[in-house]
Amino acid sequence: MSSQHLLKSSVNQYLEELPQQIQSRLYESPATCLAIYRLLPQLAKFFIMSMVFNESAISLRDLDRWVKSSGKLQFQDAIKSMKSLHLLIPVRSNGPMLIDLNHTFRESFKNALTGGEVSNSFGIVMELDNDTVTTDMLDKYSADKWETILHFMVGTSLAHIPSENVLNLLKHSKLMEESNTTGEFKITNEGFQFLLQEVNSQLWALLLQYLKMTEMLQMDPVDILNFIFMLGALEFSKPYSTNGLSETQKVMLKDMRDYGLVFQMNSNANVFYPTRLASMLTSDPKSIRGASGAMDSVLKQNKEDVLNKSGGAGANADDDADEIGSEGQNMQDGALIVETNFKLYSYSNSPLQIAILSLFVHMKSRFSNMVTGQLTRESIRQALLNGITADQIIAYLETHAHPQMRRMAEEQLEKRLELDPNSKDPLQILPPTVVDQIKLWQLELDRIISFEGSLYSDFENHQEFTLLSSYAQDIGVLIWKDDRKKKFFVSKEGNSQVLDYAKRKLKKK
Amino acid sequence: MNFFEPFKQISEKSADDKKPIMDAISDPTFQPTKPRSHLAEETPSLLTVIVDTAPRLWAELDNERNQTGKIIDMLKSLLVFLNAHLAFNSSNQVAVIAAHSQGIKYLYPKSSSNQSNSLKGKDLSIINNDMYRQFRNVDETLVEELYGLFQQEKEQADEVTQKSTLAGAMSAGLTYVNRVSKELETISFKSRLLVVTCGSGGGRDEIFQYIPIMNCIFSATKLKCPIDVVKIGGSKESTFLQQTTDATQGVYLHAESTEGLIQYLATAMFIDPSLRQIIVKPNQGSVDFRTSCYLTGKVVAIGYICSVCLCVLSVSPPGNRCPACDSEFDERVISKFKRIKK
Amino acid sequence: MPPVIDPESDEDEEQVQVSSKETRRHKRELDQDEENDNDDDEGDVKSGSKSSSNPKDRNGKASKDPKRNGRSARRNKTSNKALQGASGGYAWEDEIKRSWDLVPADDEGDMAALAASIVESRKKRTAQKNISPYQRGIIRTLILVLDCSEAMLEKDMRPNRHAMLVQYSIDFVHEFFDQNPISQIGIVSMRNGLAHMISQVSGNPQDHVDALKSIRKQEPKGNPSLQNALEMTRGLLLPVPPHCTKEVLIVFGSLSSTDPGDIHLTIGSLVQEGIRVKIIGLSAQVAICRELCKATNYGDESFYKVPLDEIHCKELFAEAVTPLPVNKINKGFTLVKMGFPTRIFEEAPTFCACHSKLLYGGYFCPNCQSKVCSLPMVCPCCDLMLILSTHLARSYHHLMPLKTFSEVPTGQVFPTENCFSCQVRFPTVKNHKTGELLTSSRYRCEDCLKDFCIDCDVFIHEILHNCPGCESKPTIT
Repeated sequence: MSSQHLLKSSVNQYLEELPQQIQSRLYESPATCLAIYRLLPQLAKFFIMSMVFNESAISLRDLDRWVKSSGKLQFQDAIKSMKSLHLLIPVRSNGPMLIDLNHTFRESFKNALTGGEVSNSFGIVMELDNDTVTTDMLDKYSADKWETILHFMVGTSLAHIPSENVLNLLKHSKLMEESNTTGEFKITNEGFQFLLQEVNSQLWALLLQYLKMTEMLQMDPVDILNFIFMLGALEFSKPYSTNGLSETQKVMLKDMRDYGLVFQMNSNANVFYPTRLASMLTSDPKSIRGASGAMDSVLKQNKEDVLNKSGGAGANADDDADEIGSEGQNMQDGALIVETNFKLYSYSNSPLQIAILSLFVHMKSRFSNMVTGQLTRESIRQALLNGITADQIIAYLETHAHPQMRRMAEEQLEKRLELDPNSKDPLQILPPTVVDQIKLWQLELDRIISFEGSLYSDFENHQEFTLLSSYAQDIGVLIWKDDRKKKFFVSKEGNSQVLDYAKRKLKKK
Repeated sequence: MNFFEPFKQISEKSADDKKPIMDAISDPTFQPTKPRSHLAEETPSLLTVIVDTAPRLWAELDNERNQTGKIIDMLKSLLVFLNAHLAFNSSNQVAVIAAHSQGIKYLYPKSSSNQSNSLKGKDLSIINNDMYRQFRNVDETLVEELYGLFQQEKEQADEVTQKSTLAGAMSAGLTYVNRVSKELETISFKSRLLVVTCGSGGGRDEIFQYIPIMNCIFSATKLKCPIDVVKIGGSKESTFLQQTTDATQGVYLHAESTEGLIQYLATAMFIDPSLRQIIVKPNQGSVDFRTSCYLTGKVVAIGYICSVCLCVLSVSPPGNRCPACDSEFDERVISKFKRIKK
Repeated sequence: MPPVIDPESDEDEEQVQVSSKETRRHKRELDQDEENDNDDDEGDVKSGSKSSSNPKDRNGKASKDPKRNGRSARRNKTSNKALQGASGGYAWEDEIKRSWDLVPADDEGDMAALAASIVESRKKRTAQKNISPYQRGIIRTLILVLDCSEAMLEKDMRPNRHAMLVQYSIDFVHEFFDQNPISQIGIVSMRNGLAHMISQVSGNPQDHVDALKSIRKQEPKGNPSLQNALEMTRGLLLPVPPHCTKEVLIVFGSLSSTDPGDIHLTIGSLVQEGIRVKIIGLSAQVAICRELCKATNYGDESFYKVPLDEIHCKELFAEAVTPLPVNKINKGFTLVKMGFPTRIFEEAPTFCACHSKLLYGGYFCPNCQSKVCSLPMVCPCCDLMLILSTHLARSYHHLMPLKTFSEVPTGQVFPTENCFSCQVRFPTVKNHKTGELLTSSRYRCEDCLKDFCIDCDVFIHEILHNCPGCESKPTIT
């Protein structure tokens, strides 16, 4: 998925731009190593794994031999990304060019895998006897915090607005701007685009901004990055101790609380709970979509286990009933269906989802588990004028498409390939009519094209006019002319040429 | 004289002039810009490990090499390997099935039925408490279940074992793959199977595994699930398992011992399904596709096949009847057969 | 390991069972029967229009006629009975049953549990299969005859019959070779009154698929000629050795056949050579087709079917994939010489003997050492059939089908909560109000007494053909 790609490249880019000393300090933490490893291209992951347990340096050619000729592009890509993160280190030798894995990285990563010396980089779990924090509570908390931010951006009227820190960050990242006169916050074009992204892209976009902001505050990026990566590696809803954290990280904890990534009972408690949002940091959006279903089933399993333990076989009478019900709903929230007649159905209940949809959809009616709407010229134009591009709308619709739509598209593609194996048609998840129309609506806005150039007017007679205008036409710089009014317009580049010609020709007279 | 004044002019295209718009549609920039390269897409995958834990085989290996506890070494490497697979993609999944001397057992995920005799508080010292939780959850369950399994083995030491349960474990593994791929239909999900076996003994009991293993091969190809095989110790070749990897595009690897096993696992066995298309598979050896004669048991390259039951013969059957299905052959066929033999 | 089979297994009994199973589908065919019987004579005149020059035959036919009439009258009676609905009247006199009437919602409108049980029972039906082992003709030669006449332009299947059936045929070829790797196929089309060879008899699926793809763009035209097509297939099946079964699968869309001679003579010679014909008719049932199937299948009429819909049509194709039971009359037990080549890898590319292409590695024929690039194949040098031992193994499950699992009755205490094989928790499908179980959702293997879920049951019987429970027993049974 492109959005996922975007996310990875933006995080990777940030990491690659860090100075080498900071990078190698980062690699001291196993949790960070694991997170960075997951951000790498597939092939790079394979190479690193093959080198982790092999202490000796190997030649680049050996790596090259693993890859078939069809995969050379990926090979270059993998090597480049590993080199720019300084994971691959060239070894000087008198023979062929040898490379080796970054030693710090190798040690930490090995520790992460084998559970060796991980030195609290994956957090310290506390065994609390009277643990009152439930998963429901955490989910509610994180959803509340995070959706408040998004709602605030969409402009829903809220009972309470996000904290000062969050507002600062939003302003800083130019997702919203503060109006000079009223002091009210207004969403920017970037803000609208931000809203259409997947949750973890949004999280990372904010966190990267956060990093940039903290750099100005002279905070150590290593500490911050380590903490972010650690958050991603923590187990959901387990109590963690704040003891192992550095001062910077303790400050950060407060900010993270505002984003809904962690939960604390009170601001100076020495225990914190990572929320589901935190675990999304290091997982990819594709899996989140599937995983939310998977997560539910895991939760249910746990619940059943508890029941089994307590009451034996008879106790699970109730949850069996909802097991059947949930089977049908085992899909992401907000799965949407777009029909060729521009009607849109979204299986969503969340006001946020609806608010986002209403950015570009004319919403019609709302039911207990779904909303319907219509994509109209007006609704799309409204979105386009807000700075959302047609491609973003289409990408949003595609990523949130109902699994059934995806499956249907895949079936159709297969059929088409069967008829014509050379067809280069891509997978069309949305009806092509809708996709084309949205693009046409965007083009409509581009009806006006501006050119810079010069207008020639007030000719004395028609002959002079034709002489110059036909010359301009011949050299291909004429943009517009009106014979009756004796005016024509040439582009900026061609002006001097026409001017010279005019001087030459008209002087003669 | 005329004069020119440079200024910005706005030329407006008339609204009914649709031509440029239509042109724009055919314009390549209007075409979907996203190249659908399937290779770049990262799909989570399921790794199902079938591990042969029959104590007899491992004991034989220990004797052979005058070392002890090879199975523990192997299991340690396997744990790290599972972690590596989980590290590869955050939504990767694993399943481990043990083929022990008396049956098969899921080591991970844990079946809830044997929850009652949970072995909490047992010796789990090889697992660091501070380990990454995702790893730890898997490792903990695995060690716990293994502990139970070995306890069980101790009790049933005198039960007879006539054949290996590997094929049963492979069958169960495939049903698990089938289940998971059905459950996760919405996201494209890939699976693979890894068989870890210990090969002393020279394949005496393999003959009883032949048909089930073959059936597993066909199912695996239908599920598009490659089967990789690691064989530790014993003879280099394992005819059926080699055929398995060959038919399912998997990798066959023979390791002399458990030393450096993790390196083997982390390279040759670490080829994620999404990388299979671009990575050169390490096994390039010849594969023996010959089969054995039903009567003599000798390996034959050219044989005679009963048209009814497909059993392979290399000598003239007694009584002109198929030894397997008792179909009677024509006198003519037999005489032709005998003539060729001479 | 070759399977052990009881040679005395009675396949006639089998057939009876099969035909009695056909209930609803048969109804429509019988319906058509009646119609056909009425204009039987008309059809006969058409198909035998040129046979009048042969008075002897005409006489023979006439003498047979009373017998035939008597039989058809008898059948008319039975078919009337078959047409009667549950209430005793004819089906069309019944009240209209809408599909949703079948689903009795309970008072709270809770249908989830019920729907789940219906889904399960549907899966169950697909899992039903024949399991009694008997001898089947594993080495088969099948000629697929496709109707490419004007009738195939009919749009009752989308986009039209022709496109649909070419697609089904491609699927069929794939499936056929998947299940019968050592068998061969040839393809013939009926177009413009002639029979055309689409692809030669061979064991390479790709050739056939390519050939089928090439006729996809060809416009169906003219009338079909059954006789021409049958004569051609007869010619194609002539060199087939006796140990192979000779089969013809005809897809017939037209209602008539335009033949140059007497088709009954052709049918007679087909019977003599033991060629068995199966027909999938797309329009109404045609008398001559039924006669053809009946004559070539030893009086069994179940080889001529008219699909009700597209799904049924697919099922009919799937039926043709399973090898036929070896008939007592068709005894051709023999030993077939086959080679098991070894695959080799080479440093430098060499030419293969089959396609003359430069390739790295391939398979060496154990007889003459020539290199071929794919298997199974007949060695181009020494005519030895080359196969992989895995190919042989692929056919074993036809010979030794897995026993069906029996559903565990509800209302007993279940030993496990999880499927033995995939560890999924068994769902509890309950009537919401009364709380009684609709189905136990457990399917038990009689040998190892392990319980499986419905998904595993289907997977095990359709694809795997191994019982994971039995295979994981340490003792040999």
